[in-house]
Amino acid sequence: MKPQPYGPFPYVPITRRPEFNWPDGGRVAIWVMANFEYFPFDQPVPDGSGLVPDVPTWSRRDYGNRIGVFRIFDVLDDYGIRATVTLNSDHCDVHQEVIDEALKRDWEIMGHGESNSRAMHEIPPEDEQRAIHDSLARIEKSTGARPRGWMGPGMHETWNTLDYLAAEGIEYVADWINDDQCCLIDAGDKKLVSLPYGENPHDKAAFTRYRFTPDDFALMITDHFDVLHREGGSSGRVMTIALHPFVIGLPHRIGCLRKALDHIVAHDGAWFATGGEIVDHFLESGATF
Amino acid sequence: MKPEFYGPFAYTSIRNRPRIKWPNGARIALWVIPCLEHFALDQPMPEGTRKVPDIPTWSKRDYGNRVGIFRIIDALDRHGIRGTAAVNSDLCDAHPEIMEEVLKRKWGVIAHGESNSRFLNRMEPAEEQRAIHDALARIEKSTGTRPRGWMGPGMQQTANTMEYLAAEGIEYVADWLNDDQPYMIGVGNERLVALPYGGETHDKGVFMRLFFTPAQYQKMITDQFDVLYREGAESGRVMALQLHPYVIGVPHRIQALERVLEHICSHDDVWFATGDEIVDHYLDSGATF
Repeated sequence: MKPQPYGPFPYVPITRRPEFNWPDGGRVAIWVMANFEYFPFDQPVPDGSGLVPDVPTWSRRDYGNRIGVFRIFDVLDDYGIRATVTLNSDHCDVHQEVIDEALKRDWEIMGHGESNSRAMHEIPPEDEQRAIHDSLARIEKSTGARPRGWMGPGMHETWNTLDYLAAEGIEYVADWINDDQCCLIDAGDKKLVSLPYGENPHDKAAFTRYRFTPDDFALMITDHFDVLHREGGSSGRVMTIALHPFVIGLPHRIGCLRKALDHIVAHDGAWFATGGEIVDHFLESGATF
Repeated sequence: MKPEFYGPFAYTSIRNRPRIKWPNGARIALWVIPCLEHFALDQPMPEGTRKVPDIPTWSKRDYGNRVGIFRIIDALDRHGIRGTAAVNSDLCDAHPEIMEEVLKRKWGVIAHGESNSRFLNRMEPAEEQRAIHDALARIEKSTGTRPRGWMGPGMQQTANTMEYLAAEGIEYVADWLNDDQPYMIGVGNERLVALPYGGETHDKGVFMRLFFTPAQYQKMITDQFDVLYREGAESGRVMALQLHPYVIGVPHRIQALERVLEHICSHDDVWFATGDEIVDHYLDSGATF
């Protein structure tokens, strides 16, 4: 991507795009994203004191990998939903057991950098390509499959990230939170797919930035779904439900996820899918732009 | 505007003014202001990491221009309401499709600087004068009409802004958040109108700084309306509804706007008008102060 005033894709307003449907006339493709993150204990933790060690900030996040993620597994199992995991490759060194639970459920795995303590724009430029390569190689070693998708920690990129990702065989990215539909992104000679992550229901934003209650978050999900379901009657929309084990996985919060899913599954036209499945259908639809 | 102990206008209390009468006995003149903003990916974003590119901060705002604005347009269309678009002139080049929708509906247009990445109070005087001149010229080229009103990015001004605006023929400004009625501002030999923009109910502040839920926003705006409507029986009030496409235009918030509009439209004595129309009526009324 060269430095440019607009993103590496054409501006096409949502009102002027080819129309299509998800499988079986689906109106909303929903990808539930589970963030399997790792924060090294011997480095500053984002949103913390900036000092090392930062016991409360670090251990709050570690809760997610010890306990919280298993609540997410239980809930999604009950609804038969396969999530898409954004996986920091450092996680593979410490929490293979958690990854195995995801693989057992045939969840999809996406690249998510090496650790969540270092976003792509915080890595020395000369080290970015290696960091991307090594993180994807490490995930492949851990899961037996090379990730097709990528989301950077904090959704950050540099001007070079897309080119590096394309060279590593990545097919779709979720860093561009600017749409309710997929579109094609230029990455040098290649085209990747932008899979919207959008201003979608995101548990960390809801609980730690907006200070929502669990009921507020359930309503955020269902209101978001209802509007996209209404709009998806004319052309398919995409919705993310972004979950962080150390946020939604707390005992007093996990129930609101069930409440939201109860509402969604009561509607026709909701297609729960993984990131790769959504991208494949978009590419096959002929409605690409 | 000289540095003075009070603003560049007479102090008048709400109790001690000529009575304002809106057309047809309306109690409130309501202007709806969708902000059509443009941010360049290759310049620092306000409120972001300050690094370039800042993908999450930029793409979140780009959502507004790709998707969110069309929800606002639909909501206003449903009630036959014409907005007054506050336009960054850079958007005329980047997204002429949006300006087409504005013109088709005969919305009002006020100038909102060149870009929301560049505030007037961060510019040297010569640069500020050029930026104001060029923004007005560019919008005139896009719409065929020279804007009569101005609202600065971030509502920021310098000591020279009012003089520069007056010299460019601007007749009213929306940067002064200190009243529920219009009033006159002395600028050299000219007099401009300050048209209330209402800083406290601004969707961006409410959702992004106060972290209100959509239900709380809905209550805030309907309560705001109800009190101004009651007071407007004695002397006409102005209410502004400020809408940022990337804020209120997201799926989980748009229904709050829809419900606010239903509430307002269920009242008889509301005059939906553009900024130009309110200012013209105020100036013709003889009730200026």
